[in-house]
Amino acid sequence: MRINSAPSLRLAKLILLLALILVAVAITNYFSFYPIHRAADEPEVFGEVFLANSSYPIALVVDTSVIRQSGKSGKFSKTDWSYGWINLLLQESRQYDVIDISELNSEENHAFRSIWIFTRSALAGSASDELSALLDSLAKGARANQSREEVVVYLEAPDTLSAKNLTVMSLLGEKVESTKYSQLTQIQLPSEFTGPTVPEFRFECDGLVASDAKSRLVTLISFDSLPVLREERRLGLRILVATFDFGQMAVTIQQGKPNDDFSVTAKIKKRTGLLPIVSSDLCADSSYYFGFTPFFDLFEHGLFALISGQVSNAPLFESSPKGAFIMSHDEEGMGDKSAWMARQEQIWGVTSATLVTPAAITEKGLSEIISAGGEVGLHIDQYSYFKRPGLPGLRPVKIEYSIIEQKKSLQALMPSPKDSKISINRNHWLLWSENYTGMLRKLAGAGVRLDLSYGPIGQGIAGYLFGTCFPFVPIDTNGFPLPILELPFLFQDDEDFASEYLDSIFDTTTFQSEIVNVVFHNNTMGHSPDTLLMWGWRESFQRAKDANLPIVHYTDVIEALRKQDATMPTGILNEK
Amino acid sequence: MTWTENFASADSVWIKRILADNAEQFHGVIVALYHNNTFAWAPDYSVYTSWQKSYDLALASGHTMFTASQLENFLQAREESELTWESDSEGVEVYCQTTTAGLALIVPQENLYRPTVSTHDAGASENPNAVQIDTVRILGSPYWRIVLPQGKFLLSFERLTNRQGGIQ
Ligand SMILES: [Zn+2]
Repeated sequence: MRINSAPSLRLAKLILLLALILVAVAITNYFSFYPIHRAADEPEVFGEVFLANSSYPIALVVDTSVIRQSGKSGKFSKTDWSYGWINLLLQESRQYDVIDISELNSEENHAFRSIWIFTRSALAGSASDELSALLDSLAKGARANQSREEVVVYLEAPDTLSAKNLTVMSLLGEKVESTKYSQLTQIQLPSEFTGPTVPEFRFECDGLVASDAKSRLVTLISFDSLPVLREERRLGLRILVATFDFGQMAVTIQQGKPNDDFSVTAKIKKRTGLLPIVSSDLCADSSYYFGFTPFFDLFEHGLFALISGQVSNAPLFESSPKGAFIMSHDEEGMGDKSAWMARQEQIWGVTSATLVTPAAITEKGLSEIISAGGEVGLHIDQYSYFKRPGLPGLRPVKIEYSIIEQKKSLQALMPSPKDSKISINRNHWLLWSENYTGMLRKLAGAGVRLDLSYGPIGQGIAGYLFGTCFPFVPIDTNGFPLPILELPFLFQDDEDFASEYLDSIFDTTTFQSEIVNVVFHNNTMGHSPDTLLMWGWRESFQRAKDANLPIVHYTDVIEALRKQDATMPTGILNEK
Repeated sequence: MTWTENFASADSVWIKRILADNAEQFHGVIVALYHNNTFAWAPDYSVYTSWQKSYDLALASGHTMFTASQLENFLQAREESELTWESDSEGVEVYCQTTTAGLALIVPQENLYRPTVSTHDAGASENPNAVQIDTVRILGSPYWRIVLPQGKFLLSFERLTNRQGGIQ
């Protein structure tokens, strides 16, 4: 017996089928236009314990167990940032030891040092008698080597100067009101270093010294009229006692000032929609954006002068006592045409770095840049182009190219194996990640040695946003250094470049170690043409020459550190 | 149009030669084209400098700078001016009336003396001395260039063969 479907049922089936097709097409279309974003899998390298002992006269003493413990809290203010000191020593001397306090028992270890820096971690919880014993032992070491100049001991008082922790100051015969000093645990840049005194500071550190005749203590630095660094001579030692946390200050300024829980993301997302963090977001104080004074490098320079008793003279480039200049171009996916700037610079007899997103460029363009004498680095882009697996019309997911994938793509395009060591990077759009060291971990994991993504972004924003143009080792949220260097830049051509920028930059660059570096994109004349930019590009080289700054590459910075045997966390100076 | 910015490496040396040739020989109108968007598709700094320098080079080689509409006005003034001549064995007489100052007559020098100038009509206010006469070369041959103020003029060229022993 045959049963025929009723016509109405057939119609219903047909309508259902059509509806299903329609929904399928709609969904497919929707995800073609709004695909699901998948981040790339990136291996991360975290901050690691870093110790070094090459018998250099400067010794930085840390307590890695204190740092490890403090890093677990996940709070910025609770973390011990003692490793921030390595950046001051990197800038001012480059040859220093880093010793865990547990390794400090040998007396001969004491004999040959001329500067001891006991960081906050090293002195955490030290009792008065322990400190006495330590100072006695150091004094003995100093006497054992009579030929040495005066031995300096820099003692960093623990963060909260509670009655228990006042031992350092008490030891020096000073009664201290603990409530006063506890305000300093939240480090802010003191007014001395933001005002007009800064330019003089580099020459006249004495300007900050206030001697108190009644006291045996000499105040070397005060912040907002509170003494924070004092000096006393006893036991044949010159003892400096600091009640401000230099390490935290260094991380706060050079790496930005994130919220206590390290996650700036929520705040930024609220403000900017879905964009990840850009480096300007890391710098809390917008008044720094407009300054062309390397205020934090100057502070480090001055502090080291107070410690060592003389202004250091350790230029990174032997030929130049004043630092160097680097011109950089972000390729922005322009492809082979981006070589036009390198070609012109060869005619001018100068050179630059082109940072490339390996999306459109070919070997031809890269050869052109390199044969014109230019340097090539990465410009990783995790924002503009993606892998889209699937079938035509059905590609519901977009997947970021990982940093390693982008690096490999670029390496494969390089004209010769010699050129294919890619060790430098700048993030396209200066985009950061979920927290302020996350991206650095990924970059370090991909073998990037020198990152250049810190710098001002936004119309009319320019200057020493992070107080520095000397490469520094970022400190991870666990309190330990990451095996990568960060070198901030000063301005981007397409963010309201003004001729005054050049006046200011080259006026203030009389400092030994600044690596003045700026960004002129390869494609700005295409989308925002302006003769001012052509002038500025050319004039930057001229001003650098007039200021006797050598025009170098980013890899020359790494090479100079390697040549000078700089003390650095493992891996940064390795060939790769 | 004489050149576009991306044509045959339009650098300053090349532009200089074109301008010099035009100033000395051809006396034509040079039109240069620099696209507004060149840097978007073919960035090249030499294009930028050739654009920048071409103004100075043009003026330095004796050219006048025109916009297209200024050129149109010039051509219109030429169109509106009147020019007639009579020629016989003794010489050539040219009658002209210009509606604007600065137009020039170019007359082959072959067998013609430097012209004398008089105002065309009695009572006209034009000063014959305001007429500037010099020699230019076009493709190697000499020509009289007679730059005229606004007004009516009579130019009289005597033939060389008409005078004894005759070279001017
Ligand atoms: Zn970019």
